[in-house]
Amino acid sequence: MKHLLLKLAGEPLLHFTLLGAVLFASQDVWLPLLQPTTITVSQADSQRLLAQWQRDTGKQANRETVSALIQQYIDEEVLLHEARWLGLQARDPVVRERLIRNMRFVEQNQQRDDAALLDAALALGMLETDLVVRRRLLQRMRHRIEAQAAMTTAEVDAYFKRHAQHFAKPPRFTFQQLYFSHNASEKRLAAQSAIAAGASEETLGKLGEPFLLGNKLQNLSQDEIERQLGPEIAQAIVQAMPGEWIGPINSIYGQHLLRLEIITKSEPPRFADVRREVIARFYAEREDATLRATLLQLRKRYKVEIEPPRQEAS
Amino acid sequence: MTMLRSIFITSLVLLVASCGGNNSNDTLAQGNGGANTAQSGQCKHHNPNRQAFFGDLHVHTVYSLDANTQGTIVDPHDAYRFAKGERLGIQPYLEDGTATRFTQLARPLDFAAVTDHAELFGEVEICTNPDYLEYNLPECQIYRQSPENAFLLFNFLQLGLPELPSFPIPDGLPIISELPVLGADGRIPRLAFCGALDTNLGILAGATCLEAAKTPWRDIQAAAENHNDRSDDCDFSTFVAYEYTAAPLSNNLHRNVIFKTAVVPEIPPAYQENPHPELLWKTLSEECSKEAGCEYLTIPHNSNLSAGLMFETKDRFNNNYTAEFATTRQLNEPLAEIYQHKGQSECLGTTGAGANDELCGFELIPYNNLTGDRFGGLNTGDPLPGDFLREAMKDGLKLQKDLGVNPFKYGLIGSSDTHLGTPGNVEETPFPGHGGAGENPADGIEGLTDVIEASPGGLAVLYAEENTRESLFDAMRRREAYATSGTRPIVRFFGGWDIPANACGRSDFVDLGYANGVPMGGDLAAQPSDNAAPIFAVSALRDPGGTGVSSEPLQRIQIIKGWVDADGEKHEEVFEVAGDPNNGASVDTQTCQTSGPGFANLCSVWTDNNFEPEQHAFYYARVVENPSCRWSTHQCVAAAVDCDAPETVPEAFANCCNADYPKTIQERAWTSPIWYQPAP
Repeated sequence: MKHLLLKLAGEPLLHFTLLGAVLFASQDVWLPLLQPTTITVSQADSQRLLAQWQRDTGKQANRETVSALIQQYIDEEVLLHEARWLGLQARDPVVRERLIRNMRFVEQNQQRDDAALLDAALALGMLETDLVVRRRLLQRMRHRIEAQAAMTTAEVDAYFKRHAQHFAKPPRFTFQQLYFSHNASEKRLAAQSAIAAGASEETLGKLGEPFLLGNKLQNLSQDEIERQLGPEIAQAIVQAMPGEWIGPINSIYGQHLLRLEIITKSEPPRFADVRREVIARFYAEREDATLRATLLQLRKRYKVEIEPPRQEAS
Repeated sequence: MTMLRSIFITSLVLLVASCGGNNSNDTLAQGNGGANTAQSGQCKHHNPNRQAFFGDLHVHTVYSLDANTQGTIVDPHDAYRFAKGERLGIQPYLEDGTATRFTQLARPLDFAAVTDHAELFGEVEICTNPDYLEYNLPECQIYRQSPENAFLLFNFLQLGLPELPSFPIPDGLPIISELPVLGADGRIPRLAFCGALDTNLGILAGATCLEAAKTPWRDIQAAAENHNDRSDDCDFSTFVAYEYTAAPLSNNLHRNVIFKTAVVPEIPPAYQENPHPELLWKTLSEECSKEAGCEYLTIPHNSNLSAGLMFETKDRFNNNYTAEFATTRQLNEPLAEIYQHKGQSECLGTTGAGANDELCGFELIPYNNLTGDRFGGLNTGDPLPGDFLREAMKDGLKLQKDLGVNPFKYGLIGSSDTHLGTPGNVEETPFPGHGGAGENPADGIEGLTDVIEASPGGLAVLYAEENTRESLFDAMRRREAYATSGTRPIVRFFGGWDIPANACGRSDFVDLGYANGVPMGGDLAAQPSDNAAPIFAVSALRDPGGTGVSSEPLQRIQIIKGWVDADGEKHEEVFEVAGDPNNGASVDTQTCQTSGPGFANLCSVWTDNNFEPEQHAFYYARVVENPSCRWSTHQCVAAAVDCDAPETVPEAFANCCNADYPKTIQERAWTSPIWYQPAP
């Protein structure tokens, strides 16, 4: 790394790059000052947001609702302005295809080329009005911002320790069963007698009725036992003492005589096993925070004008 | 401004290029760690006799714009968390972003695949068409000259503009500050697969992370990577996947493409570039080679809505199938989705000898393509027999007779096709609708949660030794799979020539099945002697239900045989092999209370006494539960809708009184067939 940096330091190209970068980055400072963009939220906008929200949620809105909806709308408008500033409307294939297709539909008889159609679509304000285009641009902008979320290994470590419980694995149970359908109580009683008399495992194995999942179930968690045999059996097994026959336990299938053989306690979760999931969960939180913080920053570049919502929106 | 940008970009790109182009297109293959899945035999629950794993291979999230525009913001990470049992908020949302509805699986899934529509991923910016304005943008020039470096550039732009607060970059922004070569420095690049492993830290770092900007396809891969359980508990498996969304004139040719490992094409082959399924297969075979560690299969769905296209017996040039083309189809598509939210594709029950199969009425969509009943039915029509798998599989036998290869040799799975990002949410109650299009999107708004003809969808069940990607994918390849309509019966189905008649009474049923026959999805061995007839053993356990899940007992098992006679005529017959179709089970549709006897388990060994060794044939089992209320009936009952007093029925519940749709259903499982082929 160091070696490479030394090598690079002598590169004229690097100097050129840095120069370009400085010039380029500085526009971030002066550009917003020179061109403060105004975002206007009209009464009609507020009404529309409110109507949509009420239709979707079926709830009555109060003053806070209206205000929150407007703030959310402004955030979206900011992102759309930024997207346009980046030229995403022309580069993004989904947006572009959608706009051109819209225009082809509108102008079925004309033979304009794609570039002209795209210009026409933009002139018609389709960036704002087409739902697909709008969602797509918002998604891309959010991704760009979320991509700046970062974290150190120490933070990941701490996060893992804090949430270790979430990644812990449940104990697993290996057990034997003798199954009897509800109308086989004689067989079941015979098996119980044989158990009491200390019959061999082989003898006992022949006393139960066949069960599709078999007579020995291996390494299942409580949830898995419940999913395969129902909650009654799962309960009985987790409360059983290893080595002892218990039952009959009723299940939806019939009656079961059960013998827990081994409980395998899970070791504490190892970071190596779960690191991807840990990082993913942590990132998801970081991304949200980054998005919120960046939106606050971006807001500063815009002048926002909100027409007061009408009184009846109570 | 543009000028400045150009200078900067150009110099940056030259700089990157001058660094030796060490970030070539090995990026995806490198960090992917397809080898990270548990090795065979590593799982605690490993079972050589295989076990049934339940999952959903058809799931849409925010990256499907049709879901997105309906208000779904659930992403692939959320979807996998939901599948593993976490509670999830779903649309619509309150003004502060809180969900108005919540949903949770009573029984988590064993595996899932997020399959968003690839057509809207838009992974590559437009650079290749000289008619486009930006063809001459510097980044596009670079893209054409050096596509392998271009992703670096694009993503640099994505990261850097215009949110960049200042330059040089402060410590808080790791990726940029690590230009041009990214070092670890205690910082983790943002996506888990974006670089090589740092062996000291056991985390990811490396030189390839500039490509890690978030895009739909990359995020989908990351979610699958992150939620695939690599511990020896093997609790949950994911698959990198997407939906190929071909629907000429709304006639459905959709396929889900499922990848075996994390090695996948950089851009998922989509409909725009591959306007016919055979072109999809060709592109996939080129961009997903086994040698590179990439394997895939495609699963068609909703043939019921393909208006005659899905099982056409011609290729795209309208030529008849050849043996080669039939082989290609069979190799690419071992499975078909027989049931999901938009109805079943098993059988129509209106033609041929199966015309009296009344169970074909189950979740039958009354039109034949995706237009549905929009435009007054102008672009659609009645469902067509040839769009259903039973008929297609008979056509497949016919083609096999003529060509020696069966192009429609499908194993069967079910899935949900959820557009809420909720895999496996397939119980009749509570059913939140499949997307945002329901009548009552929020709790508390009255009305049916979806259009009346829709339903919650089903599940895919795979017989695998253990719950890992590799083991499950091999099961898909073998077709050792069955579909359910959402419930969880356990079904085993074997066919062979010397399965003992007492197999059902033996505790080694499964061992016998494997030793003396083939499992569902397999091919019967050659007829051993002139008078031998094939024997089928089928055994089923009812869904045990559980906390928060109601379930019904089994009613009966049927074996469905399809065959082609010497004249090439197609036939089918449904055999009742276990249980009792007239067991008197019933449902009170005023209360949804079920009553009557049923079976906790059923088993049968059945011999095909009409077997003719020169006839191609297939056999599959259908396991049928006692009747219960359909999702819509549950909602109508809960809302106390009284169809005898029409004036009291709210508009949003009008379909409660629509006599065209049944009030009850019989949940069921469909096994993959077992095929018989005469000796040549």
